[in-house]
Amino acid sequence: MKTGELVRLRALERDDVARMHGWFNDPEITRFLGYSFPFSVDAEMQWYDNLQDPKKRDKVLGIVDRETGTHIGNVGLHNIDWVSAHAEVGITIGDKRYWSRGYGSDAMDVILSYAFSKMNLHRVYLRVYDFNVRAIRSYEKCGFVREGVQRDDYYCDGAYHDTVIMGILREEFLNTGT
Amino acid sequence: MEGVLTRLRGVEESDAPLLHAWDNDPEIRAALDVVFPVTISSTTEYIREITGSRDGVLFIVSDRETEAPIGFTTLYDIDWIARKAEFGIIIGDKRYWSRGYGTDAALATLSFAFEDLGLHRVYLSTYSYHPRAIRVCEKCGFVREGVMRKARYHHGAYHDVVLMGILYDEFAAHRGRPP
Repeated sequence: MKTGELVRLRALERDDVARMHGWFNDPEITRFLGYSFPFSVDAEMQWYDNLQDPKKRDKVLGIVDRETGTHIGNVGLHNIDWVSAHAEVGITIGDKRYWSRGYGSDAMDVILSYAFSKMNLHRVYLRVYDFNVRAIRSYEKCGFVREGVQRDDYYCDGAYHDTVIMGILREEFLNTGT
Repeated sequence: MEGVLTRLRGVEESDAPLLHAWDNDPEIRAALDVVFPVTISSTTEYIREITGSRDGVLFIVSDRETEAPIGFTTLYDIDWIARKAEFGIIIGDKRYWSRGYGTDAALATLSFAFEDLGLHRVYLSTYSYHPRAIRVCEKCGFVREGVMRKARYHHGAYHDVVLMGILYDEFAAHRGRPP
């Protein structure tokens, strides 16, 4: 798999589950992902086990800091549609020390390259909540185009929020020369 | 549920042959997110699943005058926290196309979504090559919220997916009878 400037992607291992359980129970992180009730290590393990099913249309990889080897987050392709040749991408930098330092954009670049050049997809899209300004800026940097706004689509902290839909086509990604 | 032209009732397992026939009609399938043939057993399984769930509902639409079943509407993936659901409609009997029956059934379903279930938002996606569906939704008050470019492969080409949504306030403002 292609390596980024700052990160590389690798398969998730059973040993990563405890770390991910911490991230995905942290409200500062989950508010960007959609609501979830607090969940157990067992539930996280079950999620991990389900992911191993080769028929599943989700592929999730760990993001690793190239320098230190630290597992800092996950990036995945979901709802892979082989007929329309597209997938939804989701990314989380769980280790907050790595926020706003280009690690997310770098990981996104690697997964897009994988989606277009290895998996032969023709489109990748994502959903992001309107208040996640930092993420929207980084997706624009990666070449994503804003395609729509689903109004009042998400309820969080006592209010409705919009979901922004962004997409990138293969030719757009390849033309950015990244 | 009663519309002006149509009546809605809950789907029964015995409706499987009807849905199965519509789901396999090429002209109708073009509007659906299906590519592989739909079997009678998967249709039956789907009916069982949705009738056994409180996170989705499927209505058979019939002509009020003749009682003949002409299509179906559905609300699915109900999200009780965001109070939203995805909407779908098929008029399977083509003699009823472009005569207001789809709009009538859609409005009755929206009324159920907002006034019986208490939802806040209903949304759907349709295809750019299916203007009849877009027209029906606009007549019901749906707003175009976005276009996912080239997100559907059909008949040898990529097509856009059109996203539409309606909020309870918008529906209530015209009581389901838009100007």
